[in-house]
Amino acid sequence: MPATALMTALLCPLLCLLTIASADAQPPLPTIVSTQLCADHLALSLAAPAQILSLSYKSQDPLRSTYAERAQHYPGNSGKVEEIIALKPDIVLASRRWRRHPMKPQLEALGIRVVIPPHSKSWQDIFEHTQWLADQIGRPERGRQQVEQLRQRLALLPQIMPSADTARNNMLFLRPNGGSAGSDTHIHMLIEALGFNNYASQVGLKGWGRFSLEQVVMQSPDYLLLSAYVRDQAYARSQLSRHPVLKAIVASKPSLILPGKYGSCANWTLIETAEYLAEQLHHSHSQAEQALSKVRP
Amino acid sequence: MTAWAEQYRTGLLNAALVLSLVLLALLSLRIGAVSISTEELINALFNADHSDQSLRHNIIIEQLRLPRLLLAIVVGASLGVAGAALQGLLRNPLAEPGLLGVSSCASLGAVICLYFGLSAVSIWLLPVMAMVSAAAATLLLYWIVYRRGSALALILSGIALSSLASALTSLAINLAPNPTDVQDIVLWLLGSLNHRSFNDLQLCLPFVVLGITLLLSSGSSLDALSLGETEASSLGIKLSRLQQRIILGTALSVGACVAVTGAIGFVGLVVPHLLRRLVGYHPSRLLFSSALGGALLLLAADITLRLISAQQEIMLGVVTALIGAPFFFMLVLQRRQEAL
Repeated sequence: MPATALMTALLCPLLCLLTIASADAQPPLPTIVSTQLCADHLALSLAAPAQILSLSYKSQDPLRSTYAERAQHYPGNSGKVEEIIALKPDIVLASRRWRRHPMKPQLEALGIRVVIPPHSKSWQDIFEHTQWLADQIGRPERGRQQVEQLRQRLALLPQIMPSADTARNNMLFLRPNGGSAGSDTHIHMLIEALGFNNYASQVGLKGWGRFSLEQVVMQSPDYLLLSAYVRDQAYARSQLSRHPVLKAIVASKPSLILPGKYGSCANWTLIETAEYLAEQLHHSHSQAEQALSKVRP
Repeated sequence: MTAWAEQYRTGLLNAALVLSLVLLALLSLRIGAVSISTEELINALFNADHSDQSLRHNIIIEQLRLPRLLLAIVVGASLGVAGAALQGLLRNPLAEPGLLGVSSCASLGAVICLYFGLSAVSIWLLPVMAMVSAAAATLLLYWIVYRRGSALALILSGIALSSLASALTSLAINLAPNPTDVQDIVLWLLGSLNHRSFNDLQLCLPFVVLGITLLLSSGSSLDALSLGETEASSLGIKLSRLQQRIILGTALSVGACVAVTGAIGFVGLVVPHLLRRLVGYHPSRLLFSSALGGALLLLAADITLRLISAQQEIMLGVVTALIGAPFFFMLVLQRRQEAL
């Protein structure tokens, strides 16, 4: 037997053993408990199924979550510290309110890391924060795939939009209590991604704020994006939506409805909301064309 | 001071209140998120200009600002006259619509509707529930008056009823399933005229008109009662009938207002106090003046909140208390100095 062949014969099994051993030596992926709806969506899309110990109850509600069916396969939690300690995760995904949570040091003393997904104000932020979270939970490759897929879907979005609708048109996001969204909000990103101008930011609104009914009457946006978030349906908070003047404006303008399960998170799932709204626009556009074709000679 | 001079002074006071109300009403039509000049206001009101901008101004003034203005007048007048009537009936300066538990019960009815999500079934269910609850409270008070007939029994029953309704409202807030529901209940309880339309005005107006008419018609009986129960009886006043009329009038007017705007406190308490001396301590004269004063105070509060509210609306109940409380405090101090 030549020396090289002998070496190969000896080294190959050794290398195989080393590879297996090194694979075994890799630390297991950290286990996760997510306590917030938007973090739940990130966990479902980025983590391996075995990593997830529990998701918030909200993510199991089909009125609030597009991932309700998948979320129902995991135990639910209401975000209480006792529940988190009992589940013994390595990481707890939490909302920004947890920055100053009095029990945060106690959880960290028990070896539970509190990870708060950063707030995104632009699509670039979303790319970076998706990757950041994937790194935190030990799934960097999955993060890269997700970001790449997001870039592709974002690039395809103009192609599925009916072009006549968006050209130089503006859109006003309006909640039933008069709330609106200016620049630096994910709604602004959503409206711009669809190719519209955000009317609230054009009139100077920065961040979340209000748009009075008088302003809506006076300034008359081309399109309305109406929120149907579950939390906006409460009686006292939805007084504006019952006003006859607003009803008349909504009836006279093209309007899109943002269902409660879409559009409440400033993360990569925003693309799903954009695609959903683009489909709605397509649908209303084709309906309008059909109606026109019937009346045309 | 002679009776004629007192009547003349009351007339002057009412004329001043009416004039102030008209001026505030015009100011109220000018104030809002969209700036409208006096000339534009006149053009829009009389459709003098048919431009697109004038048409939009017309919608803002006639359909957004006018119902709000009229509702402020109607609700303020109800609270003012009800406070004056109750203070006259119970001969107690602390009496106000809230004291009888009518406002609290109307609020409780609305809160039950909010808590169980019944407002999703029909948007009219909440005001109807509030009015039904106010009516139930009225029936209970009626029964107490029928059984015992004394003013003290009425006050004590009203306080008990009010406490019970407040406790049940707190329980609903305590057990609310999520923060959104808590916020909704609390917001509603703070009272607001924002985004109200002519539909809301139409809903409460018949009950308010009936209630205010009943209260205003009690004037001469209240004058007699101010001499004492025995003297009033000798003058042919049936106390239980007067009590029933004022309870029903308060329940109808205040219950209907609470149903539409939420709970607005302080107006019924503070307005009769501010005006009592100016009308020569006559309960009958105080009724109409308090109606005007209540409307004026509520309209002033609504204008103030529109001027100071930025992105977050300040609730009307908060502003009435903020405006009314210092006035009330000053009045108490002034009386104290006069007594010394």
